[in-house]
Amino acid sequence: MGRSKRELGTATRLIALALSLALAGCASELAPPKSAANDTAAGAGLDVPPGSNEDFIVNVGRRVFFTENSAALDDTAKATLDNQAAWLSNYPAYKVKVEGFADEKGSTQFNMQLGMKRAEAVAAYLVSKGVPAARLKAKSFGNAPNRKVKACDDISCWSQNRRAVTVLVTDVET
Amino acid sequence: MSLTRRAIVKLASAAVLSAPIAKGFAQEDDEEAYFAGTVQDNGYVYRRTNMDRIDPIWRKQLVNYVHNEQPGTIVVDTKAHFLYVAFENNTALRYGVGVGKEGFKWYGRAQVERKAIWPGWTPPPEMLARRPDLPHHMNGGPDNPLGPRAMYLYRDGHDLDYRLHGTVEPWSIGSDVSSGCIRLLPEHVIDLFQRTPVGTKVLVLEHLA
Repeated sequence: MGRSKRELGTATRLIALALSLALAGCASELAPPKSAANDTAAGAGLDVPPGSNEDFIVNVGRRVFFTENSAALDDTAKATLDNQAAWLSNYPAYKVKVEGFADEKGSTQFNMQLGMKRAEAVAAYLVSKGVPAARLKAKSFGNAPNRKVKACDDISCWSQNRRAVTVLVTDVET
Repeated sequence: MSLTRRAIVKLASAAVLSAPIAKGFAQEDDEEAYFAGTVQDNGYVYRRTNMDRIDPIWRKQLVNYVHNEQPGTIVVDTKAHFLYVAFENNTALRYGVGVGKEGFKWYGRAQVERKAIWPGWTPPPEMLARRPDLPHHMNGGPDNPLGPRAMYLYRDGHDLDYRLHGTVEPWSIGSDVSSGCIRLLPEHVIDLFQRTPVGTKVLVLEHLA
């Protein structure tokens, strides 16, 4: 029994080796993790309560993105904000903090201002779509290290950091 | 004989982007059950998916997903037919996908370098050689097999010919199909497009199968 198990183990290793050699031939990549559907339901799964924070995150989306040094809302950002405005009109109990961020290029002061312009652009757009200004507050985090999505010297990080996040709050901080 | 536009579309999607199944009237009825009305989008109309007809595992949902990726990264699991947008705290948003032949030909790291609304589609030369009846180019629109959005993957500035796109065949989500890359329901590919700035990292998992 023990022996057959060992033999099986050897056979498995040989097959794995053969497979990895075969794959090495068709793609010269760093080996990414193996495929496995290793996830489990989080939060409410498919039964997301309408009007919950999770509903807003999953079915609307909190983030909009910007191009370098710009606080202009493109059509994609506006489409997300249209959905946010509609959702916020359906659930008027929420107040909202719009948080503006910048990538790591440029001075701290410049990025603080840019983050504020982004947050204000989002807030102004939501107001233009019918969300009362009294429900909204804009705040900048600039390129604060502890609020970055990820720091790296690459567009993959910059593009994620050039953002504004619409955060639902039940009590706005004073 | 001249082909109508719709006939060309039928040929194109049947030949290129769907599993080779002979279709009878009963099946056409089954297919209709996958749709529920229409949605206006950027000057075109797409058929809204009847989510009740979609297996719950392929619907968009928040999951616990252990990963080492930076938030916003797209992870494609071709074997399990899932696409994840990695969030903070080892969570992710998961979508069901259909995987075409092109979707299995590559794995590794890439980034989204181009995005398109109602993308056009140009059949590759080898496909045209096999199927000379196909159009050389199809403009974007409701009958285009790519659906309402596409995101194009590049690596080191080089187009990988690997795309995340929509579909006009919602029943193909969760399965392996004869062609195409990674296809999502129209609602899902639009949602993904909104969450994906140019520069977003993509990881296509190695598939040992």
